[in-house]
Amino acid sequence: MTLDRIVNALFDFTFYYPLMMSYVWVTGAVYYFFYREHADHRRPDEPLPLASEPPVSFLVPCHNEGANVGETIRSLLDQDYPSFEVIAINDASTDDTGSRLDALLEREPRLRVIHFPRNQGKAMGLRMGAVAARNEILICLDGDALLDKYATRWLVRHFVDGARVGAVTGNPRVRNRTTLLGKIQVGEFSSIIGLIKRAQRIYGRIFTVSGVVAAFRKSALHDVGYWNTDMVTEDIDVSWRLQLKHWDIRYEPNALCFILMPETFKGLWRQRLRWAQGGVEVFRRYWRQLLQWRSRRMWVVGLELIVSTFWAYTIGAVFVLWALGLVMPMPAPFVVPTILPGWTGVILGGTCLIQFAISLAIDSRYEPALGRYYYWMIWYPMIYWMIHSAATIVSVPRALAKKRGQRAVWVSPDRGVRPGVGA
Amino acid sequence: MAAVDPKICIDAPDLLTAKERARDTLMTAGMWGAYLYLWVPLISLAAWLLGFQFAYDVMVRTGGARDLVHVLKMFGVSIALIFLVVTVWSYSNRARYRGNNRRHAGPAVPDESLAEYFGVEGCVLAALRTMRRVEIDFALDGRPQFFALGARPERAIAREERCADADEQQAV
Repeated sequence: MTLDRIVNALFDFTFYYPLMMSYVWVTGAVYYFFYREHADHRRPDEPLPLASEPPVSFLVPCHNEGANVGETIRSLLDQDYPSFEVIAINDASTDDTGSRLDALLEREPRLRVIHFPRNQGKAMGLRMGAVAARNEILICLDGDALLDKYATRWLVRHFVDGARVGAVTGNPRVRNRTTLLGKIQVGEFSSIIGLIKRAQRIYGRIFTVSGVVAAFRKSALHDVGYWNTDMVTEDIDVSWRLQLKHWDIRYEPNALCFILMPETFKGLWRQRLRWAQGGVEVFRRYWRQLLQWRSRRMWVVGLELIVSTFWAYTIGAVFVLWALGLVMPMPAPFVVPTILPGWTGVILGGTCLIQFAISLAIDSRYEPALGRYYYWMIWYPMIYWMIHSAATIVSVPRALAKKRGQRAVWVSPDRGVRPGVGA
Repeated sequence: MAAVDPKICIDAPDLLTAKERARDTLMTAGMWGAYLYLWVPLISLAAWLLGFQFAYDVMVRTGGARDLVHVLKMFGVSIALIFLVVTVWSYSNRARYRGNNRRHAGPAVPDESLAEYFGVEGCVLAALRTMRRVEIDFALDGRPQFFALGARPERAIAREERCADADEQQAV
């Protein structure tokens, strides 16, 4: 029967899609590792000398970062790079971020500060930072992140070597690992984000730069109109526009950046909701451009977004049908006898464990003691696939209902459990 | 040698209570248990090899072994295909685009273009580049309005004054 076949195909898709994507990411990441990382025996603290050392401007948009911004600015001033300026953009913080930055101004001649009296959002902060910046290369860093001392050299290398490089994204590493959620995200950043970035780099285009640490060529940004202020994820948006205009985006795993992640479910949910909504928003805005033949290298990224969004709804439907089947009789094609699929479950479990092991092995080059997080990574399917799918289901209608031009402003994120830090 | 300085990472178990630490560890152990449940067919296979009746039921009577062969075939073929497609795609991308720079390094963005794009006067742009402390507000239409300040607010230089100076210099 046709309905039976359609429903069966959807059930199969629900279980096989994450498995297949795991192997796509693993294959791409392993290829990237052997092609780009393994042959190069330099550690992150051993960058090659650059053919030229163009001056760079660091842009640090901050909103209520009083507890972190001092450390962030210090990590930038400590960069192993000859010529740079640091521009902090204080976006109407209600804590002591502004006064801390003003105090730092007195001591640090390479620091400049822009204050916004009203909350304008990260994208506007970056735009004004770009106007004020004296240099062609902009490195954008969140106000709670720490940049590794040698990261600037690794990032700049790509702009010096490649005229078509419009942006380079670094390698964010989770700093806060005290709680279960923190530990899970340490694993997630290796097994998912690191793996996906490597794989996407291999198949040509990447979905997004990491907004927390990304370097841009100003002329490329000018070409595409800088960051849009009405997109909930300005990093995904600018990545798509750069690549749709044929600017290359590179991933540089040696450019380490230490970030604070949410350590509460509420904080994590809000973050994932924003990420999911951001993906749908960019697709909604650029799908016509994406469909053009000249954008064909972006098709894989667009297809991955569409299929994963569709998958989120099908897995949601499977759970609903299974739950309904527990309390009422269901028509034959819609019966879900179990959500644990026999031998597919064995392969699902095995695939996840293989993916964890490979990702940790690849990333241990940058964090040798990473293996200890293997125990905690068992939560990854729950965190990634379940929260991701729930966030996608909720975010699609929000993204579709959102009016164009509606400004995205700052909401202070959850910074996790940590001892007090002063400037 | 570690690339990551362990001092940068915040792993402070003492910030959690003993109860919270035990809860996290036990919940994770439970998750591993749930994972083992996924592997029931594999455990059944092992048990069958050991001659248990239940395993016989799962693997033979209800067709578990046939399912295993089917799944292994399907996954084997799928994974091989994925490997082949991703690898061929990667090689072709590398061959097609490596060292093939059709785009030439362009000039830096001219200040005039930048000022025009953001709707600011040239003198304001120059002030923005030199002042160490600047306050920016925005008009209702989203255009930035700049208020250049000194390193301390009391040494403020009004935008109009800055542009008037520039206009005067230009006139001279």
